[in-house]
Amino acid sequence: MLGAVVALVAYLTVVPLAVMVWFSLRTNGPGEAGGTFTLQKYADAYLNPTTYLLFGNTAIFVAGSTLLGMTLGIGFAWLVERTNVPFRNFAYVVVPLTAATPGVLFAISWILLLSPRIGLYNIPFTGWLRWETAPFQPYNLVGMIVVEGIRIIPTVFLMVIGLFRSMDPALEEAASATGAGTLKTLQKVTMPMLLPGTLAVLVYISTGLMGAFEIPALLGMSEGIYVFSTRIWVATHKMPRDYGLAGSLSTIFALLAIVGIIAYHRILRIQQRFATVTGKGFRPRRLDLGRFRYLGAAAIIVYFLFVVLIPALILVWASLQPFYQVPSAQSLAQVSLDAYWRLFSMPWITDALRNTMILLLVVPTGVMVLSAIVSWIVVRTRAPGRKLLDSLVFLPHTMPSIIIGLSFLWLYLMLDFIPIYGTIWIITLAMMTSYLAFGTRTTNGAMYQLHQELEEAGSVTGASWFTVFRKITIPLLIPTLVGGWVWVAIHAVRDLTIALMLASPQSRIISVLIWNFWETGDIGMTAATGVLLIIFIALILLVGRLVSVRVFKET
Amino acid sequence: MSRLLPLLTVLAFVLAACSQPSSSPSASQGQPAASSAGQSLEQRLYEGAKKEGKFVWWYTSPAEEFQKFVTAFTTAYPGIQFEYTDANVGVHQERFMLELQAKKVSVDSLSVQDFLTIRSAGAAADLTELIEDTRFSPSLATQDKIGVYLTHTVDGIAYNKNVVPEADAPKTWDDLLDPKYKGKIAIEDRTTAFIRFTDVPEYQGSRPGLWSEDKVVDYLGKLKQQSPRFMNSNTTMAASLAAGEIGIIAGVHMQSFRRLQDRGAPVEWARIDTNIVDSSTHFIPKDAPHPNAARLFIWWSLSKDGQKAWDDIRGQGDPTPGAGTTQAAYLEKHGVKPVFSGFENEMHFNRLQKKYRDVLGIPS
Repeated sequence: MLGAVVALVAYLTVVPLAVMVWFSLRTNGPGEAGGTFTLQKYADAYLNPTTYLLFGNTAIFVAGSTLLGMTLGIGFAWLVERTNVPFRNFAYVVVPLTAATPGVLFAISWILLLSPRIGLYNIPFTGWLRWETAPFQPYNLVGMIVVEGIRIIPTVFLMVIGLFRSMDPALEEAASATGAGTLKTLQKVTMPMLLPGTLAVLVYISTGLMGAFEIPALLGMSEGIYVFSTRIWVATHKMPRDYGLAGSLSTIFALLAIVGIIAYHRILRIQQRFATVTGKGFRPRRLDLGRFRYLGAAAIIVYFLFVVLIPALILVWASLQPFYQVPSAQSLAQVSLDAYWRLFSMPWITDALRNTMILLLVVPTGVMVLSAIVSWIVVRTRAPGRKLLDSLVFLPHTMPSIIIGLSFLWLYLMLDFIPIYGTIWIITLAMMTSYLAFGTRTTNGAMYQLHQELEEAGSVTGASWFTVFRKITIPLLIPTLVGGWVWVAIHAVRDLTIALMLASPQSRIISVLIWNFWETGDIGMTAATGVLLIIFIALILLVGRLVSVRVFKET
Repeated sequence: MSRLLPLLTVLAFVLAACSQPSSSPSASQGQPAASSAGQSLEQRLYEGAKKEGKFVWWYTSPAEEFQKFVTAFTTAYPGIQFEYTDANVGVHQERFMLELQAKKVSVDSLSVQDFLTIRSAGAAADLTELIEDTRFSPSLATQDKIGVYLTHTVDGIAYNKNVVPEADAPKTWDDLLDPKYKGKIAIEDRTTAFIRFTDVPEYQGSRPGLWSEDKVVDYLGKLKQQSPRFMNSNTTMAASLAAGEIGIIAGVHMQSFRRLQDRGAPVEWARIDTNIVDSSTHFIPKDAPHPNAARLFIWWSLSKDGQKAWDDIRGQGDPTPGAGTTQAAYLEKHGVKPVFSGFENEMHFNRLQKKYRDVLGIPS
């Protein structure tokens, strides 16, 4: 069985990457006969000065977004977990809310808010105060950094909250007892203790940002500002195609991402030495901010209004207009549900919904089933290849989504006897590959926490390993599997990058429809589809929550 | 709860089983209907198309317009399932070439970006019979009668009246180089309009009003100083124009612009000296899976009824003055003279696109 699982995982993870590297070294592209080996594509890419501009843009974009997102995310996490700021329960709910918004919609809403001429946040300055130049501008590197930095705040917040919750406040209390003030405690005790964990978050976030696509695509490409992901996308989607450039850029990109993930794991091992959670319980200590707590409260309210609520409302507004207009009394008179009627009258809407449902059901189910099996092998057995297996399932995490998409595109153009090219199944397989790392990290962690004596009791009574796995291990893992299923389902439904690389008119899905409507300039349909997708994701979250509640009540 | 997982798994497999099979060419590779005494060509093709049962069309158009084509064609010829796929012409071209290489053509009629490649591959069927039977103008077909020009895209300059007052609207292409327009202009990143604007050697001077390649390069170099925004589709540019995000589009398709103007957007077509007309070439693949349906669709498109339907739906009828189409009437009303680019321009498309994108600083 180990061999079969390793073979399957290797097929999903290693083969697509190998195909990409192969074509980066060939003169022919996928689907073309003949060809010879060549390094010319690498020479063309890396002897071209614009490639180094690409490196520079990507580095600045990643560094800037990481800095902004980390600063605000850590700040909010500290306020919520460690201070007596008012509205902290409200903050705990609203700060992560924008994580449910697909990247392309996030970018569109911020374009409508920050556009120099029509952006809602610029109108008070250019319209009322008559400024000649708008203070906010999304179509440059700074704009890209601001929007992406805001987008990653929920992820940073949730990851750092976990760090705070696992940190025993005894050391901070000791500092306070010796007379150290809030700021000194923060500087000398809290931050050093959090440093390894924060570094791990930083590496994880910045490695992920190397593959960020939606914000750079919508904000940067129109101004000729390209980063790695958008350059690879243009090379594979604009005529004439340049698969050689895409392959040579992707290979180096993947290597950089691998370095990042190796660093992430090294830091995680260091972090374990800073663990302060023991078997003893503890209650987090809250710092009294004094009058500064109102400043903290104001920050939460401002964040909610300007980052969560207004961007959501502007999308709804756009969905109700015949063509996008800035909110005014005149445009209010033109509000209608026309875009929604048009969307539901499209003959292929049922295809798109069906395909999205296939993704929703098959991707998370496949990921979590395979993850459970892989984790059982890695954690519970002493099979000789289990460490290789654990590395293989993590490999896709080092590959940005656009590279996974490209690899699958080429692989199944080559393997045309497997007729999934252009169908929903190639997208399904690619997404399963992409989320396998998350699934196995989740189930590995849960499996480590399960004491083996329950499974040993089953074995002692004569049950086969499969019976033990099915009747004991899986039921104990249900809470983890449900949580992981919901996370993967949400990401599969809102994923754009992989879907965009692989979608065809026969495999329409909702996230790609949003992109297509945007590309054809139909802002109303874009927003209407986006609003429906967000409602869809909210329903998934709600169902997941209800199932989790029932599961915890019944077990 | 142990019942939940099997239920989810079963549901997933049921949905998988219910999903449409991947697209594959029709198994019945029919032949064009043989001549039958007393039957018109249209009738013969219709009988053959009904037996084939389906027509597959690849084109680029908003969904509502596709639906109008479906309604118009299936009303005229009931009993034929009309299937269409929407993507830009470049995507269609690539997909068609892949299918051609694999000998698995799945489309009956399409329009592509580079017809020269199709012609070189010998992939297009002869349409002489259809052109002659409908008395379609030979000037609106390729010389070898393997492609027909069903739509004519007029490219010009449009502006938002709230950003650029009408009194300040440009009157010539050179007016766009005025610093007062700096930061207000958008150009499509494919530079298609400027490629079509180029006078290529094969025209042999037969198309006055077009610019030499050097003149276009010089113009684009100066236009770059106006800090134009590059956008990846005409319809996106038009939507941004309607919203007021950009003030002027240099080289916008008239049909993209008019859709929004008809909805009340504060936009206007500039009364400039020259508008370029680019005609898209439709063809039938030689290995079309439903040849009778394909030929019937083209026959209908070339007929008077079909041309009117195309004009009503797309608004891209022949813009020649006096042609009687909505597009011709619109240009006459605005006092704009159309200059036609020709099929020969496509022989230089890729080369010119790379050259012009380099001048503008757009990665190729």
